[in-house]
Amino acid sequence: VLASLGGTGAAVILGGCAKNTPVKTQSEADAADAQVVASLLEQEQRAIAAYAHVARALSGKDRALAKQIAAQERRHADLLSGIVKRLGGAPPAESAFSFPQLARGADALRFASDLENSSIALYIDALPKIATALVRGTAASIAANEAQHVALLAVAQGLPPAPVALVVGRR
Amino acid sequence: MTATTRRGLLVLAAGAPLLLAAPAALADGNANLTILEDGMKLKQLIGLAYTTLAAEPRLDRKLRELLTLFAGHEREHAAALLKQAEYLGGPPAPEPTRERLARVFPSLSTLRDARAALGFVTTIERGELQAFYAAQHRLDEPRLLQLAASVMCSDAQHLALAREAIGVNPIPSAFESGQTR
Repeated sequence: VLASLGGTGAAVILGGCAKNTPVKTQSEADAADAQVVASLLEQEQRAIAAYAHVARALSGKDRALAKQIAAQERRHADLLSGIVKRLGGAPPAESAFSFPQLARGADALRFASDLENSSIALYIDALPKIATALVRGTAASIAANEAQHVALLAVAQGLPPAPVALVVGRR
Repeated sequence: MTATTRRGLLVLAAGAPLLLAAPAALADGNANLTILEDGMKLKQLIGLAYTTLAAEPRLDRKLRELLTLFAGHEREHAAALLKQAEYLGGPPAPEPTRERLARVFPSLSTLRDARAALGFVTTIERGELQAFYAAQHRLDEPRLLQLAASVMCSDAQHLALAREAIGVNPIPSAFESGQTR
């Protein structure tokens, strides 16, 4: 994705913009996309911090799952950060997040699940606002990965892993 | 997705990864409607394939329940796509026949153990993900982009659960677009 965003590729990837958005110049479209992607990056930064917190309340297989998911959230953040820069924006500074105390493993898994659902909702909400088709595809592929996290966290909780056919997350 | 889906069905039928047409090659004046109609036909057919497989008595009960769950989701995806296609003026679509199913997925009747059935499911789900990922490059209506993404999220869950049932890493990639085996 990052390679495609450089140089002459930029004009090509502007195809497929959402119909209802007003026509923008390339730089306006890039700036708008950078802003949307930066907001997604903030959520990934929150998720990375949250999983460090979550992992401390877990053990065994559940802890290993949390660590694997955390590593994927880092991959998301790294790519999104690169996209924001390529689009001419500035990635948000990493904030200090505060999270509720998680006394039991079950609380930690439920908290992680809520976080993932919130991420999915954010990505689905953001998609029509992203003009660059490749970036939109990347955002959709991250949302799909977050949905996988939700399914595996549900399995870990002994809950139905895929209770709905149209996965839109929830705030 | 017209060419993508048709090609996808052929390639899926051959058990090989879905090959995608370049987005520019799919351009036409009515892209949203053709994407919805092709996606809906794909989903109807896969729903029927999973229902057929779920009736295979040699598969264990847990796997048949999983296939039944996935079949229901595929039918719901098809219904959601059909609703949007009808909104755009598309004609009602006939249900796929058993004959068509056998033509598109000739290997279906030979899948009699869990490994083969789950291998089929992962191939199908990866193909669907690739098709709906490609749709993100082609659709230009906000609600259709969101619908395609919510279908992708569901297919991604199916893929992770099928991989887990096989006993392999359920989430090998942080970016799920159906590319990773």
